[in-house]
Amino acid sequence: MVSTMPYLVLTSILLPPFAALISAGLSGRRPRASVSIFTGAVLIALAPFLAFAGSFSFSTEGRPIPWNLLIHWADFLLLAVVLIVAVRLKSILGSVFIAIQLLVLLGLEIFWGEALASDPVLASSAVARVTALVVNIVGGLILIYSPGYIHRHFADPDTGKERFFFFFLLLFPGAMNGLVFSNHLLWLLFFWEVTTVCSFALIAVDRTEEAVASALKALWMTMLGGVALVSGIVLVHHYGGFLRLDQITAAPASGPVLLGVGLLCFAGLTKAAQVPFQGWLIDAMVAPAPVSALLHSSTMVKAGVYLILILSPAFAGTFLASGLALIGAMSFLAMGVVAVSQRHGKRILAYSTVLNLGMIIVCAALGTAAATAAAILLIVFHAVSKALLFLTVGTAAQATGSSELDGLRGLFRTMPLTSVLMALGLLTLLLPPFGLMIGKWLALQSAAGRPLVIALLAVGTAFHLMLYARWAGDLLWGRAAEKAGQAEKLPPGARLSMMALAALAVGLVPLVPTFLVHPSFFGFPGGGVDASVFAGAYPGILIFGALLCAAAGFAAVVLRRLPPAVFRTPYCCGAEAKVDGQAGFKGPMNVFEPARFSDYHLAGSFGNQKIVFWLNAAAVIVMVVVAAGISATG
Amino acid sequence: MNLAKLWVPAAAVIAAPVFGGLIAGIDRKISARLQGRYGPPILQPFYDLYKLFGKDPLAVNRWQPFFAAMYLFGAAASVAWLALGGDLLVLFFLTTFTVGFLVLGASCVPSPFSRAGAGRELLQALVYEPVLILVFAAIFQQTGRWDAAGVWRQGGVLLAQTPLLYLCLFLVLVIKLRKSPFDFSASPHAHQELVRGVLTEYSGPFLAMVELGHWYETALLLMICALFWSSVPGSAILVAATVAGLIFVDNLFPRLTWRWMMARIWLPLPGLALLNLIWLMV
Repeated sequence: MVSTMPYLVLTSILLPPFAALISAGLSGRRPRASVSIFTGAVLIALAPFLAFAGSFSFSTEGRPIPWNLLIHWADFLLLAVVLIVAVRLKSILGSVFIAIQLLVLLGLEIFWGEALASDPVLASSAVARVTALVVNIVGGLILIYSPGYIHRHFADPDTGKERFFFFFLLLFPGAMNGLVFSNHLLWLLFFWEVTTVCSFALIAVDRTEEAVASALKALWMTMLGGVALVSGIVLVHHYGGFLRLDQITAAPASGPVLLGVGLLCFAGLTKAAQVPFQGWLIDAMVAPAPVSALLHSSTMVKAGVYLILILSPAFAGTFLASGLALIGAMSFLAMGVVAVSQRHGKRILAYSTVLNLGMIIVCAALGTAAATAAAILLIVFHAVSKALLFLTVGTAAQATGSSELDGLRGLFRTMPLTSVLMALGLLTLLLPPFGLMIGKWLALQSAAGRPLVIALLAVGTAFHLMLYARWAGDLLWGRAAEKAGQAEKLPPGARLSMMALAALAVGLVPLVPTFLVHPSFFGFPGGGVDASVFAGAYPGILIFGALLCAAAGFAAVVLRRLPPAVFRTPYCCGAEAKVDGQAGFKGPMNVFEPARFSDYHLAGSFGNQKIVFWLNAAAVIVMVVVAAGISATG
Repeated sequence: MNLAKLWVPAAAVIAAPVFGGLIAGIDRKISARLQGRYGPPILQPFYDLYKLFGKDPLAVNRWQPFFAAMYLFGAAASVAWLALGGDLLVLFFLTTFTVGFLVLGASCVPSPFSRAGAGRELLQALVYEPVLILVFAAIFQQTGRWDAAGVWRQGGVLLAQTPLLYLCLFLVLVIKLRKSPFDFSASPHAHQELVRGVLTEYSGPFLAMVELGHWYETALLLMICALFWSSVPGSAILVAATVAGLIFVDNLFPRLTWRWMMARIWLPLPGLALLNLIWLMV
């Protein structure tokens, strides 16, 4: 197995761009759909091998192909092309940040040139393997889902938009695999830029004014992260002589090297859309649902937290760790607060993504065994649940024309499967015994001793409940008598991938201690996550889960037998009335008044604009203080 | 966690609603006397429950009784978890499970009263959930244990170090037990502008299930209170004093609105709890 591993990894990196090129060359919907579904299936099949087949490394020395040179030139070419696009779209910030990166890269080539080779360029750490598992399984399922959605999204297949869409969608998982398996920092940088470009292109795919504006916002924010990334590389190379991740994480960093690590983490923060960079991810929700599911929720934003998590041995216990914990906890609380005032389903999901990424960053900053386990669990389960939610919301939005919460109300009557899966997805984000709750539990436990962090997490958790409980209730809203006339019609790929994601969100829970605690699976440094972390409460959580299944099954069977005569109209103080099948009541002058509902959105207290300014300011202050603190101690 | 001791949670699941129902009965009796009435017999809540279970089932849709069943299950499971001496943070998530399903049951029906109640229940959760986490974090800070069994074995009067936290927990209890001035999501009394809120659309056996779940929640919160003075006589005194305090607060305070709660209580309550937590650390 060890000998085939490099080929498997190279396949996972090279197959998607190859498929992207083929699909761009094809005309007609059916062939492109087949390429997407085939690529998705291959990635899903590859995933377990990438994750469980042990460690591997790939060196460039003695190979016939000059890989290092290829990567460097590809990076130049990519940045140059994007620079031209950014200049043509008159994005000043974007152009400036790209130009800076090009200059720094050029400087690296001129001054260090030959010295930039350092092997192994690709390697697999434990965190990388878990992330690859998530990327390929969730990403593969989304590739299987996409054709059905996109054929309805673009009315005309020949405008080139669809071709453009599939090119970047297929390119993306390859870039992501490259990113997680990169060990050489310049390779990491290249794949990092490719994901940025994919994101930019896919946000803009509809070519509306709003879409292009959102894409440019994403471009300049993530390109600022790119500037931080190259600057960090320059610092860690100049002062530490490091060019690879395994060198950086081998020992705790200090002085200018720590500042370099801080810059790398800063790049992670921009990619993970933490405050003050949350804006691009929220605006990116104009993109079609598969894009939101693949890039902006389950995988690409995970690149940011992946980088911070993998660097955590280098900054454990430093001032930088405290700063990151604070930024993550602030994002967690603030995004919960802001999301409560939102009414748009996809935007709420975007805020909740930033919130969950914030918690993962807190875990990475805490750096204990339990916190690392929490971070991994949150990465895995958040990707699965959030992808499920984006796909179901996208499916519902296409059928009903609305992804506003008010438009989704009573969805159960017309789309029973989609609405139940969506409600399940919401509950798996929130409630025991599902994976995210286990992650949150470990995170809170690790944060003991840091009252400010635990308080921010505590208040944020409460907002999370408020967000999802009423949404889930809304979906199943309605009276028993109101049934859909016909069965829900879903494209087979959509049905398959949504069901598979729901099955993963529930079915992975009993596997947690086996595949995370057991050292032989991922081989976490230091013999894996301490089993005692789980020993105390985990069996109990599993018993709770089993009892829950039994109780829910029993209740469902008993309640199924309730005769139709049991179901009545809701109480309206004796003034109920019904006109054209709509429930309501007799108002003044005996005029019919339909029943209307509205939730507490607390827009007055928690309006976006009021909070966001102060929040961003606070985040910038934290960053400046951390940078100053590192410089002062170095 | 010792799985051989499974009889303890089993006994707790049977005893807790009896305890919760008795508290409700005593509450009604004392409140009646305070208001110059004779009041119902102390066992009246049990008679009511028995009667409710005997009625014909009525519901708005199939999800609603299902969520009621899940609420009851969650409440009973929380009590079992605490009786088993389980992890307190996991217990916190079990309480979110419980309140989550109560809200689901109330918000899946097209009833304005029920929906308004569900919204207010969530606002209340926004107030008390952070406090619960901070209370558990403080217990850990003081005892070094996350599991309730360890905290109880450690003994001692936690209350002496955590007066502010206990005050916050007391207010949580006032909110959870729907006592004045925080009785706006499911107030049993006609003095509130929204009566019965989340419970509006439940009747008969399904209402009985929700009522039973509420007794479990009452018992659970008083069990958490008992952890603050971990000895049998000590915790008995503490729980009795807490219940007496609840009844007096309920009868002393005028009605207030949810806006008042959000404005006056939402930040100060976790703030006080946090203050106490930081004090424990220095």
